[in-house]
Amino acid sequence: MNKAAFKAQYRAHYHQVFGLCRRMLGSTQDAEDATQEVFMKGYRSYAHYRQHRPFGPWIKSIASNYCIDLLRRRKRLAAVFSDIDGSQAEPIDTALATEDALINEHDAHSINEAVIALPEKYRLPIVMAYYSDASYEDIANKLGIKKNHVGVLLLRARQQLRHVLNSTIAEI
Amino acid sequence: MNCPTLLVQSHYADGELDSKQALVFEAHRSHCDACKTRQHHFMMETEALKTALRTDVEVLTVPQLHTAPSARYAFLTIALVITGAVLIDIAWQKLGVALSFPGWLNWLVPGVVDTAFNALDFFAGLLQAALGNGGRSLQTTLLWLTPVILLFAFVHRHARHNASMPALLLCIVVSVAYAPESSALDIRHDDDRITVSANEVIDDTLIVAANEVVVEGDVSGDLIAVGEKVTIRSKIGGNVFAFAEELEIESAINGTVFALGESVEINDTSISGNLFLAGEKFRNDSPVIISGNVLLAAKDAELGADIGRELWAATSSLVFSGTIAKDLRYYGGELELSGQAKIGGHLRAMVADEASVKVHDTAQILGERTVELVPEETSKHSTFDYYFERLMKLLAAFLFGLLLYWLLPSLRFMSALDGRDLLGASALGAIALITTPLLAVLVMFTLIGLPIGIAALLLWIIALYAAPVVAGAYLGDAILGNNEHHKPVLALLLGLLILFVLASIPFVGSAVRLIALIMGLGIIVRWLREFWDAQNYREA
Repeated sequence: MNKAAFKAQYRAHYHQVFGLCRRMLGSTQDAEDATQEVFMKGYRSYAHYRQHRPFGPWIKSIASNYCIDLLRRRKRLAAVFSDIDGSQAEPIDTALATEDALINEHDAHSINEAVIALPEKYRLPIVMAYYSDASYEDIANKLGIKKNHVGVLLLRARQQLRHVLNSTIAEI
Repeated sequence: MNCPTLLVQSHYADGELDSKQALVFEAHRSHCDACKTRQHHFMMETEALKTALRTDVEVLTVPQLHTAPSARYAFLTIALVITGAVLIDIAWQKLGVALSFPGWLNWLVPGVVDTAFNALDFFAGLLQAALGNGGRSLQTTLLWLTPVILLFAFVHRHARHNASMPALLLCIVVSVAYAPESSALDIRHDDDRITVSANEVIDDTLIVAANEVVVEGDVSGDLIAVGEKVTIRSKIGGNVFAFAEELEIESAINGTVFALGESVEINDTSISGNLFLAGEKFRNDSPVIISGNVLLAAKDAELGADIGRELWAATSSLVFSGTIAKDLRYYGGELELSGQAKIGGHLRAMVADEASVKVHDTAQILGERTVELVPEETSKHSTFDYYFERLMKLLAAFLFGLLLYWLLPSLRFMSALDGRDLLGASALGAIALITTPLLAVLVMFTLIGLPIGIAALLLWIIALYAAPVVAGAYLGDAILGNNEHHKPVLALLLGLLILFVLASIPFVGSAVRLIALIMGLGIIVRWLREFWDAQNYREA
């Protein structure tokens, strides 16, 4: 396995990794740096990577872990999730409780922008659950929160997304 | 009938409801249109989210792949090294900490640690002497340099490329503004004679050259004196660099003395730093106090100084009658320690025969006395066999390296370790160097652990041989650059060649070998860890 092969994989997967980092970190600049770091890490452990597995999920798992580590190093995770840790989440309306249009009524670009605009505590679970297909348990472990809070955050994230998407339309 | 909460429905939509609750919900949903609709909405939203999130972000250009260490880690590494140097220097100079490795380390790596540390000690003194004149000490220089580097690294990291260049310029300006003041120069030269009279005070660095030079007035900075005959009888605030056929010093010198002369006499003098002296004849009759080390290379020398640290002498003959706080290392013809001589540390002499070392009965040597005999043949550096042996060793290391990377190709990827990782890896290497044999021996004491202990020791010995090869490959990769046109075999050869050349230099060589060993071991340990991680990797 040589560098040329890795470089080909880099070109093929840069967009995906950058996209994941941008969604997790919420900043284009941070995402650019993080993407480089992720591929550097990937390059170092490339030889250990079992080639019969798809490269994409492997490099994206590195990216996801790296972004979480980065946020943890910046002590942002603890601060972001401290308000829900150990306490009951805010009550959630039993009805759908909104006149907003559903998320699926918007195009992919708007949804992406709305996800990036979400506060970190909603953005991270959304990206991990619906981009990386992580289970509630995985998300809870990585973010250092309780499993039952993950569902609450995801539900509230959907409500926020609907609201943000509809506000954007209203502004237009 | 009450509908389940949104939270329960959301859990169900995400497949996170346990089977019992899921059955209850499904039973309810079968006859509740509102819940059916809500589930449908949830599913539609989830699909829309997945599709949107998995749509590639538009990136106009994919940047170049960087596998080289990033600049900020390089800055951080430099800053850490400088900070470490400051702390060691402060401990060394201000607190008078005597640094010496415990003897058992030498058992692990015979000869290397001791020699490396002595070399480190010596060069630290040299560095201090070079930088520490007048008000400008090594500590102050390094102390202002460290925040400047860290500041630049911080700005580089956070402001990124558009602000890096102004930040660099700002740091240079800050460096210049806060740098310690340098002395002005006073340059004097004459074909015949120059005298700086006793009532004259030179508040600068003085450079003086003449047939005969006499300095009797005080100099606050450095003194550089060149002449056929140079006499210095004054207070010198900084270092003294004196080159003369006949050199005479009677001074109080606040720095280090570098002296070269055919005949050198130093009397009634105190030197705060080190004394580096080379000449045909050297003698001192009246008291001389030297706070640092003395490095003496002369044909015949008589020395009665009080030396604060070590004396390293290479002479045809040396008569010593002073005191040395630490070791005396002697290389050459004949060494005589007179009755007043006192050595606080060890005496290590390398001479042609034992009778060449004469120690008076009343002379005191507090440490060990070791006399090594110089082999009769000429220097190993001048024999063909030596170079042939080195070449064979290089070839063996190269072939071993090729075999190693053929068997374990992933080791090659460790060249992408950046400065920060390498520092961490080196720390791991140092720990592995010491702890592996100890743990192996401990494990051997248990019956079941005997084969494990033996295997660990064997692996450790192989790793000791492999470590410099791995370090050589890293060095080669760093020099040739880890780019598309990278030639790994050439990089390995180049790295090993450089290491072998550096390792052949006296004193420095031992330190190079030790650093390469620790660095290489660290890279191997790091590789083992990544290998382990990769085995345990769970696909996302």
